[in-house]
Amino acid sequence: MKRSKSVNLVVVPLLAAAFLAGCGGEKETAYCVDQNNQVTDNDHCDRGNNSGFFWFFGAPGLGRGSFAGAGDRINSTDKAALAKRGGFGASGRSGGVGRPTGKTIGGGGLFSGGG
Amino acid sequence: MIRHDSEPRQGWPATIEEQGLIYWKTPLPDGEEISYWHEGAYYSLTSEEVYDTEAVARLMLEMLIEAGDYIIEENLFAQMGIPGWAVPRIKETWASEPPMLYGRFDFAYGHDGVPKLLEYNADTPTGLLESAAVQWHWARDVFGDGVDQWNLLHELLVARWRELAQAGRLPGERLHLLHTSAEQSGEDFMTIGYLTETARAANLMCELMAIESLGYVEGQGFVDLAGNAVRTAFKLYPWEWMVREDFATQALEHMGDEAGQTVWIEPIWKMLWSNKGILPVLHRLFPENPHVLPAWFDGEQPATLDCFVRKPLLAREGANAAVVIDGEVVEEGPDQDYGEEGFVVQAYTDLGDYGGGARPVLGVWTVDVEPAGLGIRESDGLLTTNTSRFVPHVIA
Repeated sequence: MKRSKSVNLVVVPLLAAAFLAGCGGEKETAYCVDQNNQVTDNDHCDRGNNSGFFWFFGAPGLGRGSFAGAGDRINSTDKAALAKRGGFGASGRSGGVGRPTGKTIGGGGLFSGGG
Repeated sequence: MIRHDSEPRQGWPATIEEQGLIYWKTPLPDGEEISYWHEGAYYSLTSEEVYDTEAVARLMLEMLIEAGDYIIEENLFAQMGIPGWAVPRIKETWASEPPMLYGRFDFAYGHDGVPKLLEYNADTPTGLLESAAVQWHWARDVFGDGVDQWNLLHELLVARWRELAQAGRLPGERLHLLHTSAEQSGEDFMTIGYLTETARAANLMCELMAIESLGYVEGQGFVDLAGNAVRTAFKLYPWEWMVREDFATQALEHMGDEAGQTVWIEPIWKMLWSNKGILPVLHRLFPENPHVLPAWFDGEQPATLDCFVRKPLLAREGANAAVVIDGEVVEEGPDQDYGEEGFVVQAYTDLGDYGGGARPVLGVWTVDVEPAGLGIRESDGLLTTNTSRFVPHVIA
């Protein structure tokens, strides 16, 4: 027998459903939020020394003053927010490394989502 | 090997999507869509054919090691379009052997039954999920539990992760798996999703992320979005792109298994094997081997050669390749601006018509240095491109 005994897929169906629901393919937006998850000026987070503000990652379209809802957030003084990002990903010619579909162009930028 | 017609399973699109093959529709330039997954047919191979092909894959891996040594000794990097600043790390990792995971040989398998190497996708092979999981479930659904298939991919991937983890070769609290968010069919995402499945089965903690989100902190190295160190990264993103991007210097300088460094899978020396320049090197070293097609760096081929395929050193999926028969271009792959680094020329070989004009290419998977399974793609034309179909197989 040259076949695997079992091929249990636990995570794959979840990831497939998440991707089809728009999570994996959509860009996420970074919002600066306060303690109450209320969207505020990015300046508060960009300074990097305001401990009461957080980076929040979510779907695009939230205006200032709106509530970002529950989700992962990152303290704006955290080193993650100070990291240089976007240094890889510029070459994705026709998309990715799989079969090119001709659907998409270009690479991602800062804070693009992935699942 | 024989191609058979087959009745597709009821509701197969929902089935394969649940198994992760959400990228089965291939859009054509005219707006039509074709299915990349094709279970209206299957291939059957005999055990003998499988064992013979497996032996060829093992032999190829041995020859590739000699070819890698030769490239380094003869300093062929420039001719292969590999930038000089990447060379020290390529040489160093070639000697120190950091962890590698997998690869895929593409073999022509014409009616003479002799596998002939078309190329080796050693750095970022895709087509993995459909080979390892989707065709496995198809075979059980259609032929029952007793069916055989050349497909130990899942088992060997899990075993490989476990072996690497137990040997302490995957530093850090978790394995980061990186894909490019520029790819929006889901193929790249589900490829690392499936690899996550295999790594989890080996009890690794995993985190998927877009390579565009990868961060770098001076003095600390690469970090994820939460600021955690990225000590071990599987990247479905080719080194040939990475070494020309903004983080190249950081990746090259901070490569390794100590704090502040990153272990990259696949290792950077895979640039030697995944480059099409490996084809003329193999021909130079093993000119009499029946599994190595004659090949040359463009410009070095004999003037009498009039049936060949011209391939860019770095392209994938048949992009910017051209088939020349009797001196005339008869077919060209899609133009994706590959080729500035140069081309190789490989003698034309007939893929064989297995019925209705279907021409298969055998994708023979390797996990570490073990042949691990088979995924067949067929096309109606002479080139295997993004419009080719994945067709399942059985051993019978």
